[in-house]
Amino acid sequence: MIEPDVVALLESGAATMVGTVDADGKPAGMHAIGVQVLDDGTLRVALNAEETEVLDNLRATGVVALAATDVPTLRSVQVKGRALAVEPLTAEDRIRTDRYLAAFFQVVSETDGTPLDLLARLVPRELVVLVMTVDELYDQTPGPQAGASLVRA
Amino acid sequence: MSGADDSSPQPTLADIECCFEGITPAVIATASADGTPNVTHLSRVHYVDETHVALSNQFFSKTTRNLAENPRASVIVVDPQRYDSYRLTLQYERTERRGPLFEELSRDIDAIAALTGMTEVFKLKSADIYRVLEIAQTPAVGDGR
Repeated sequence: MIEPDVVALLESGAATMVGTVDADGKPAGMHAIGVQVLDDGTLRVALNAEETEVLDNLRATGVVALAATDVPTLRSVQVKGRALAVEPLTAEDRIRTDRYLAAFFQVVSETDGTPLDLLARLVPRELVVLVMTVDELYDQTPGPQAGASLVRA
Repeated sequence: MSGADDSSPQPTLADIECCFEGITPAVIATASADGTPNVTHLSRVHYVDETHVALSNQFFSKTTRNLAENPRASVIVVDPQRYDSYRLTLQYERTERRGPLFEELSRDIDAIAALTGMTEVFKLKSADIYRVLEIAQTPAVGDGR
């Protein structure tokens, strides 16, 4: 069960990223383009469709870490899970990713002054959606509580 | 390799030196011995020489544990002027807990802590030195909207 405040963080304009690993244990990470938490507890995560190393890892080993950090406060969480599918965007996904990018760019620009047109260079040409489980969930906010489990018993 | 243009020569660390100014946070992915990945932000990647970078180890304990088991890392750095991204494939080599590099990173962390209100939290434990095995520009972006 993911607490509502964690759902809100994951679905906000937080900085999001995924970590993957190949069959030989070599890691590869990338920025993610927003998260949706579904009613069944799985996540839909938009990724750059041209990041072949990461996508190959997802298909090969299926293990994935996802982190989200609120830009102004650095409040952070990390999810450990498994890839269930890598699939094309739906129309709803496209609306959600557009909304995410607008929110993310706005908060980054307000926090560090980066121009919005420069941030737009982070927008991938093509996106796919990773569907993943949430097997473990941790607080990753910098400080002594980092690493504490956030999964409610 | 997932470079934007495989016919282009691999960039050097000197080519992407502006990525190491600490303006845009980096991303580091590691994996434990059992193959569980971990991913987190880094405030800054430091250029050491033409084949090495240093990462400041403040508190990313899971990353540290992973690197003790599996000394490979994947780091994404961003050019703050163009917002081009690069993936560095790293191999951990050694840790320094004193000396000029440690002192430089420690001053840098103290400055970032002051800016972010994290003075009581950000404290450099070590400067970890990595050999850069590969640099690849991540797939071209910027015209996706």
